[in-house]
Amino acid sequence: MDTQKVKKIKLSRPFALLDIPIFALLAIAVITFMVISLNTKEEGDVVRVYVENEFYSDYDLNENGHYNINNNKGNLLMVLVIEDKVVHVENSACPDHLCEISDIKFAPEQIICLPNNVIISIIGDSNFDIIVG
Amino acid sequence: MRNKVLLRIARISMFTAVALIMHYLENLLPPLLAFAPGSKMGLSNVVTLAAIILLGYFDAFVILIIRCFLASLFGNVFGLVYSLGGGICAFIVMSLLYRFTSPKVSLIGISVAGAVVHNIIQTIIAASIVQQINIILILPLMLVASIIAGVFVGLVVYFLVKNLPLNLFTDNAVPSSEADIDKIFKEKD
Repeated sequence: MDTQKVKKIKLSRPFALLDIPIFALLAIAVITFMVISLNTKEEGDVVRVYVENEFYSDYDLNENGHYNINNNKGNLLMVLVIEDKVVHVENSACPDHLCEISDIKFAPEQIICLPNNVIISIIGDSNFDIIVG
Repeated sequence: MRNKVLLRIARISMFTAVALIMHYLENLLPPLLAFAPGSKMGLSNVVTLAAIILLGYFDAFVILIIRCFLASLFGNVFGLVYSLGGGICAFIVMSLLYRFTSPKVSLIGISVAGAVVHNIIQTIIAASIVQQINIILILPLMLVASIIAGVFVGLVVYFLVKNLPLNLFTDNAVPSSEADIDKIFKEKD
């Protein structure tokens, strides 16, 4: 332990002068990313599902319905629900159920279930869906 | 000599235990931002940063690694690659900032930088696992969450460092009686 340094910290205030550049950098990063993600938002018609990095199926966003999503062993992973152009997930077979919290309605929004490796995305006209690898 | 090693092991174990409890408690709490599922407080980061300051870089690294592995044993193994990747990168950034810029950059600045790096690395790992670059669109939300979490963690560590007696970490004599323990807490730094 650097005793001198710790003693200085003990005497210091919670914020210091050089914190300003860190927070300024962060603010710029957040604003840039927000502008990017707002500008890419558009209406879409197709709900595309990937399971374990492979194309699973396409669904029509304009059609209400409940669809089961299974893995290649036939186990039920989750139920995809399309209701009035809004997509959400029910009954996910994962430990934390985070994917059930969010609703998506615009491209290129996604619901991503990391434990099951399922990606549900709305595809827009400009085809922003870049698949890496 | 033997006392020194024993005390070092005891300190590492104590910090690891606290980190594990923090990690467990954090899973019971709701997400930090209601609309960003999975955003967390990063409470175990309190222990990593406090360990860097009070125990030194190597011991802090050991605590981080043990905590990641034990937490994945108790929780889900699936999270190990995320917490290890994010944790190690945040550790490196926080150590460098502490070594070269503290106290010009405060503990809050250091912990915010650590939280941001942690989130960016985790998002990149997630994007490469599911092979979708779109996942980075969640980054602005995660950055906002990490600023809130970082300020909170930084404040906690600041008050810890300010109020814990330094002798607790520098004194290498094993206290043999209750009077010795009282002395550690009463002596002014």
